[in-house]
Amino acid sequence: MLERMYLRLLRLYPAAFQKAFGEEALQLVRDRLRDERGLAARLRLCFDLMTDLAVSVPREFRYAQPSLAGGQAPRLQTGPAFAVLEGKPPTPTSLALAGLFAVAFFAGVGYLIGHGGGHLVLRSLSMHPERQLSGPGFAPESAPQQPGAGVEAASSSLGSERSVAKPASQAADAKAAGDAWQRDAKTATPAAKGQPALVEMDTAYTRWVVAEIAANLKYHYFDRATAGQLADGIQSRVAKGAYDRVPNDQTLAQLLTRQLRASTGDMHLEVFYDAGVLPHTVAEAGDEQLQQYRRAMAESHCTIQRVERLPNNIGYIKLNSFPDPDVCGAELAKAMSSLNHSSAVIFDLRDNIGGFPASVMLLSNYLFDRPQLIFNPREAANAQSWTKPVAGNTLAEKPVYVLTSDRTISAAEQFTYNLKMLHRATIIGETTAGRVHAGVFHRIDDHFGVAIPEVKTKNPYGQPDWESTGIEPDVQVSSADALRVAARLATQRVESR
Amino acid sequence: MPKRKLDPLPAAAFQILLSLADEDRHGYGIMRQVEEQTGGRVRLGPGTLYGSIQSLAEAQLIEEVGEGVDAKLGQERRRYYRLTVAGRKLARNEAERLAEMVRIARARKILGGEHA
Repeated sequence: MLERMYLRLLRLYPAAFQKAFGEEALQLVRDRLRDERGLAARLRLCFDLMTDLAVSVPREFRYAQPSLAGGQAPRLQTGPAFAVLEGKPPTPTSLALAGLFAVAFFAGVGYLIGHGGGHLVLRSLSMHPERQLSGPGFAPESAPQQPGAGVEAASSSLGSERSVAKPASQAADAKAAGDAWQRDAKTATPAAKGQPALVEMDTAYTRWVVAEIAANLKYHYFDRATAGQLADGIQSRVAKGAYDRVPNDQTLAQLLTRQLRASTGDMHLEVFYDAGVLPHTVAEAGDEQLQQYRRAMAESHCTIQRVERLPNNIGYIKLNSFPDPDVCGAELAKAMSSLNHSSAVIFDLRDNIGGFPASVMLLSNYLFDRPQLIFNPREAANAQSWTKPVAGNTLAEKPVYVLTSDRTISAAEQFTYNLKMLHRATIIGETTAGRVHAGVFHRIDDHFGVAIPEVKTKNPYGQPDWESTGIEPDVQVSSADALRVAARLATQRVESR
Repeated sequence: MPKRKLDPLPAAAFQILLSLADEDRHGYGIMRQVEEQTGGRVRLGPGTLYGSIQSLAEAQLIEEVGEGVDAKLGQERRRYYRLTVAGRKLARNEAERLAEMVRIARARKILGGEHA
């Protein structure tokens, strides 16, 4: 496609240049097309060719040596002789074509910057909760690299080795529809359909992404029968071109997520898009990452921001993640025992970014004096899912308050959800973020990934968990007011006893 | 009649002369060699490349040595170019001129180096 485009653009050069070097110039473009694969390389090639044209076409005309042609035409003895300059200036048609192409090109670049900026500008990886990788632990957002996180993901991810290079090579397959960009460029105003040259490549890429997602679902979704139907349904929609017009960014991810959820009722299925680069999952957390995590935990006092006794003997703990008990178990136990003689306890999870379910269990142990099942939507109930009463603990009988915000997420929601469903705590603040992270993350390429639940879990409360909806607090106040309200309610309750 | 200007020698033309210093190359080979010798900073586009080749050939600084097949790249016949004696001399002069500039830059302390 690019080659054809360049063939046309070559006509902008003086005839003499075309004749002498046209074929070689085209060969050079062919060589580069063969050797440089991948979207980024192709964009660079386009850019190179455009800048080259802009610089060299005017120069060729400036230095073109007009040679006389047509001198052999029969001359009239009396009339003037006609001579034609061979290095003639570009025809209006080629100028118009060049102008049109330039507008289309810049519109295309503008579109890419706006929608797929990751191809052009390598953004630094900012960790959004939306693309927290799921693994054995609910990943705390700021923890450098979750030890153990993503073990399943890496071992079972199908498409992780592929990159955006694939679709670029597929563009060659789409060559059959070779002149589509031209038709578009002629019939549509460039402003309205800005990226004609990229349309086919986009379509091939979109189809590839969707097909990869379907393949991952087929092999990894826990419900085999549903998985097959899901994959087949998606594949047939791909074949019909149902996704061809969908912008392959957040729009595609959201559409697929909606469709997957609608056809299964499983809210844990989700397709992710990242304009930057999705992180590669590591097969196993190395010593270095564990050391890094230990250091981060040591520096942040295991993300226990505050532990103190508020007036009226109300215990208060502000916990900003649920850290790995292997690293922070002692710190957490120390914090809890320092609150042992409080009349009530406030867990402030307003800035809690989640973490390890084992840590949720550790804290829950203090709140029940009998084995209590704590629901974890990511794994089937087992012996570890029951609380173990802590010797000497007096908090099991005390009123508990949990402060939430719309940032309270993942493992923090697991803690909140169980206490709410068991009527063990009063939840105060805002509806939580609504992320279960129950699916195992499968990376498709740099930009797309899909979360697929691989085990079936039974919710003991007989209703959907908090995925997408979040947990509604018992007392709805802005997160900024939550502590004040909780302290007041706790005081009233303690004094009425 | 406007004549192609090789004085001062454009950077692209100089790079092409340098790329042919050790062996004869075809156009794509020159482009890759220039890319390599500039650490990837300069990728000559086809227009610039063949425009410069044309000027250099006209000035007899390089010459065409005939067609050949580069087996590494496929079966296409490619035109190979060679540096002429005049071309080598010009390239050396240009390099010496630039070396002189570098020496001055060092002396004026706008370029680091042990010889101030």
